[in-house]
Amino acid sequence: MASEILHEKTDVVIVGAGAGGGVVAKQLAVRGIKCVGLERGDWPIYDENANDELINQRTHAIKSLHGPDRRKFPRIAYRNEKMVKLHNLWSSAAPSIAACVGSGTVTYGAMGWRFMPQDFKLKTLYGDKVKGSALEDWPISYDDLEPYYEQAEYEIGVSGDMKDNPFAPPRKKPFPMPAFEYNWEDKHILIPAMKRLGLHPFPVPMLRNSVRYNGRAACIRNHTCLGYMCPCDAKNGTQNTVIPTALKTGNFELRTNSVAFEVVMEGKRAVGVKYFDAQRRAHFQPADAVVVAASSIETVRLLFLSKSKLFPHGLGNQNDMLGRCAHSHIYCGATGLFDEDVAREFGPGATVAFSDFNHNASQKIFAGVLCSEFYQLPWQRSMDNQPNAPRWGAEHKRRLRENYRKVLRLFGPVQEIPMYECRIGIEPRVRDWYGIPVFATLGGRKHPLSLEQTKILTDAAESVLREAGAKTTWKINAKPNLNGANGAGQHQAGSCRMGDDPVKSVVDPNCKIWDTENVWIGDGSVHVSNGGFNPVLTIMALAYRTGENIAKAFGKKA
Amino acid sequence: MISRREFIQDAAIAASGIVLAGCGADKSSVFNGDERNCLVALAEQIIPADEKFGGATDAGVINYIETFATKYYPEIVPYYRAQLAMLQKACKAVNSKKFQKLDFSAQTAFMKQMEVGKVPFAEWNASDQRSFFNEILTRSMQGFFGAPRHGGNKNYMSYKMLGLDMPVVIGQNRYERRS
Repeated sequence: MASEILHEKTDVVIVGAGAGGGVVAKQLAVRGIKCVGLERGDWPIYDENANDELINQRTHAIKSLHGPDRRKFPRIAYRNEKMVKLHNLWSSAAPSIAACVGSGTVTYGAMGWRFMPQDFKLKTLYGDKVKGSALEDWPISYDDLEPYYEQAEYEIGVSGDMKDNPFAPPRKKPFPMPAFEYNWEDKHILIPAMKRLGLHPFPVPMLRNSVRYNGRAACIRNHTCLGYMCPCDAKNGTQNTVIPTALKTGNFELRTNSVAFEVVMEGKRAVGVKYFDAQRRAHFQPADAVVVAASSIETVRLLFLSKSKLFPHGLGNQNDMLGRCAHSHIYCGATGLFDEDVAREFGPGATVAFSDFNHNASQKIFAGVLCSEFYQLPWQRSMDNQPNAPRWGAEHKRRLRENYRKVLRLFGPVQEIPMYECRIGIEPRVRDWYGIPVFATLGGRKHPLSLEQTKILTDAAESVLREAGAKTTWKINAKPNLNGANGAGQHQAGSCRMGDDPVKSVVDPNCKIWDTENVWIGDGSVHVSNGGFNPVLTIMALAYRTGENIAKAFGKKA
Repeated sequence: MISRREFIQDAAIAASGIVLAGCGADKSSVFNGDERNCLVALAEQIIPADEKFGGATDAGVINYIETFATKYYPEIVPYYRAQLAMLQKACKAVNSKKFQKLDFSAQTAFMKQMEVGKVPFAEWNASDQRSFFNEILTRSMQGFFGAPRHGGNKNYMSYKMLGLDMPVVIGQNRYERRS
């Protein structure tokens, strides 16, 4: 189209500068490959909303710290064939993944987990239990990914120590930084209880500096961490590690406020990406290869919008697999109310975990890890009440005041089981500020095993808290709604599945879209299953591997 | 609806942090005197003052609600207006008085019914009652416990009540200090 602003051709266009896109950019740029990054958000700035419990990426109470802007990106609350209902502008429901350079890695809780070797072959290990699901083994193994986990741990920066975790995945090198010391309550109250119950507590690996690392400060144990930017830049995301490295080479140009709307195809080859700038002007960036790393939802949206002669139903949708098997985690756990003050003032919490229920042999489940929970700020706490306790009034105020330090929580992610019907699609009846159709979750349901897994994990959480001395305990999310679709929150994954068989997947084992010569996916959407852990380190490790594969395609050395 | 000019003025006032707690008929409010007084009373029910610690009125929760409805989401104002009118209509039918004129315990009783959608007034349907209650609940808690820069939590009143450092000691916190 003549009206588009035409740019000089580059080697690779990367859509999205989050956990995946930032890593791919670095992998290419340091090997001398020219690339252009398109990020829909802006650079994050700490001072704009410092420590604000109402404007952050956790509570979204007034708005999300890093967007996306609710006025520009409407969110669907409900839809059927006849009508679509949107969320109110002022509703904090259904926030999408952070729109800024670094995306969720700027504000995440920063748990830096490796998946376990078993997580890559769930179907082989649990075939019978997961009948009726779309679960498959990954086409790659833990061993294939191990070197890239290591690279992510060293280049982005993880603090940890697995010597007390007998279930830890094998590693060739130790963590680059020592583990964080336990918070007082974890060390003196939870850990002894865990040990008495025969569990194996160990420190949570964190993408945060326990000591000075990579030229940036050590963590100051702030309260406002999960959902907030770090005031001393001790939290490691792609925005303060690999992206600056890529920019320094001179081979990477990052364009912010740039919203991609089409991967332009000529036959099997992508020739570039069309995008809008902040003034809604259309641009065309020609390139020899394209990487889509826009998150599990936005990647699918872009691919559905990228129709061409060879891909009339959307890029990667030759076998009707695009957007399918979308899933996330079911977060569950328990809260314990103690008689005396137990919680001390050290942030950000979440210092201890146990992995005894990941692939637990006696229970025959794959479940997930349980961790002590992040520090809860006052507003969040005011809305998080004991079941059947008053939610307001004098009694609520009294309880809040008296119990603020008497509460401990254990919390963890259960793997959702991928279901064929859980699908991300687009809704042409609703358009965003740029005129692009928005995404929609097209329904589906959860697998019955989800219930069994959450029961085991919430039971475990409750028994630890009781053993630790909690007089009252209650479960968090013990009975997920099986008729509801799998999740699509911050841990969204799986919607562009990786596989050996083109009929059952969207990308090949190298994360290149089947039947294309040069379109790659660099985010969590390629996950076949999402592990019983926070997925970000796996997204990063895969992006290291994918970046290397793309460089090889350009004739560069690994 | 307020005009664009008024909206900008209000937003500017809210942003500059001028607080005008308890002034019923303040011209700067998007709500009229009656609506404002009713909101003040509703919020005080959610977080009442007690002998030791102030409540929603002392913390300036109404200023937060006004900030929310001017600086951030002017679109919410017609919803508040309609629901407040309905609440008063229901309250008149049930108690023969405006909500803010009821004594404290009668207000509490009314809100307990509202919370579960059981105010006996057919015109106000149960789900509207519950959602408006939840709107008031959420916004009041945000105003009482959230950052003072948005108009509520005067002098970090709720943080003091919980015995927390305020503001949380980090860097320069220069934006927070302003409020």
